[in-house]
Amino acid sequence: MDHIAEGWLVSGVGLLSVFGVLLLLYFMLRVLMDIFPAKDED
Amino acid sequence: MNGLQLVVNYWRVAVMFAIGGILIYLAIKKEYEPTLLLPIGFGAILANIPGSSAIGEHGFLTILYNAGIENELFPILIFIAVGAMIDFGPLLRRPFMLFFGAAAQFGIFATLMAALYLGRLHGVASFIPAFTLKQAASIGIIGAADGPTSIYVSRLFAPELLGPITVAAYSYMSLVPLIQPPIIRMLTTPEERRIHMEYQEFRVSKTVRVLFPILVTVVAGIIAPISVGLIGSLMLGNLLRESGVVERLSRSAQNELANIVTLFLGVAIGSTMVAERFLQPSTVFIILMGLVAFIFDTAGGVIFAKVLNLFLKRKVNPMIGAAGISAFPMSARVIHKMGIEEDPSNYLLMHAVGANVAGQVGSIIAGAMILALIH
Repeated sequence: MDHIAEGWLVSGVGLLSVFGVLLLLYFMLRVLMDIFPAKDED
Repeated sequence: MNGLQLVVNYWRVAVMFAIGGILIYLAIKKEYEPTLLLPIGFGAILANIPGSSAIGEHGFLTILYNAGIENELFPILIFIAVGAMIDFGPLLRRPFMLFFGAAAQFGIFATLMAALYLGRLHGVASFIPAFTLKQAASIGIIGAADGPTSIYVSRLFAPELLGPITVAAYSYMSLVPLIQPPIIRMLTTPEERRIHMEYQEFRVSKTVRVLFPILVTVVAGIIAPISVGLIGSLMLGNLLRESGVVERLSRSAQNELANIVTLFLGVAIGSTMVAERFLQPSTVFIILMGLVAFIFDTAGGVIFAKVLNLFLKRKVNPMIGAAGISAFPMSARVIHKMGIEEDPSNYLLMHAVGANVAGQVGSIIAGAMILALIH
C-alpha cells in the first residue's frame, strides 16, 4: 500500500476511533452519574 | 575547512542565534508560552555556539536529552503535572462536550494527509520534502494543540523533526487568539454567533470525579495499549488531584515537578535545533503545516457543531465547537470573548471551558490512536 492510501486509512480510522472512544466514555460517564449522583457532602 | 565552508557555517550559526533570539523575544515581550519558548530559545543558542561543550557526548544538554526525551520520560512527567492541574469538572457537568473534543481533532488527520500530498510535489520541486507516513503523522499531531503529545509522538515517529514540530506546536498554541477568530467568523453567521446556550449548575459526585481518570485509562488502555504511558500518566496526575488524600503530591506535581521538568524539557528540545538539522526546507513546511492543523481543527469543530444543529432542538452556538482543541484555557477565552462581542448578554464561558477540557481528553486519545494505528 502506498503512503497516501495508508494515510487515508490511518486518518479515517483514526478520526472515527477518537469519536468512538469518546462516545464510549460519554455513555460510561452517564451511567456513572446515574449510579453515583452528587450528595450534599460533595 | 575551506573559507567558503567557514562562511556558510557562520551564516547558519547566525541564523540559529537569530531564531533562538526570536523565541526568547516572543517569550519575554509577547509572553507566548514563555515557560517553554524561553528555555527552547536559549537551548538553541547553546547548541549552536561553534564547539559548544553543552552538546556532544558529555554535554549537559545531550545528557538531559538522553535522560528525558530519548526515553520519553519528560513528556510523561509533564503529563502527570498537567493531569494534576486539570479540573475535569466542567466536562463532567456537560459530558456532551466530549464530542466537540473529538471533532476539533480533525486538523490532525487533515494535516497528516496534507503533508503526504505535499510529498507528491517533490518530483516537481526537489526542495519540497517527501514526508513519510510517520513524519506526516508527527506533523499532523501539531493539531493536537498539546505540546507533550506532539513531543511524545514525534520522538517516537520522527525524532529528526522534533525541534521544528515542538516549536510549531507551542508557538501556535500561544497564537490561538489570533488564529481562531477569523476562521470562526468565516464559517458562522452573526445570528449563529449570537445563539445563547442555557447553563444549569449541576454537581458531580466525588466518586465520579475519582472514577473518571481510572475509567479513561482503562478504556483507552484496552483499546490502544501503546497509549497507556501517555494517558495513564495524565490520569494519574488527575487522580492525585481528585482523590483529596494526597494534597502534597498533587501540589508537588502541579508546581515543583511541572516547573523542573518544563525547564529540562525546554532546553533539551532547544538542543535538538542544531543548524544542520533545523535549517532545512522541511522546517518551513512543518511550520506552515502547523498553521494548517490549527485552522482545520477550528473548522472541524465549528462545522461539526453546525451539523449537530441540524438535528438538535436546542441549538448549540457553533463557536463552541472551535473550543474543542486542547489549548486550554486560551481557546475557551477566545470563544467567550467573541460571544460577548456579538451579544454582550451571551455568556459562553462555562460551555467553552467544558469543550476545551474535552479537547484535552480528545487530543491525547487522538495521539494514542495514531500511535496504535501506525506503530
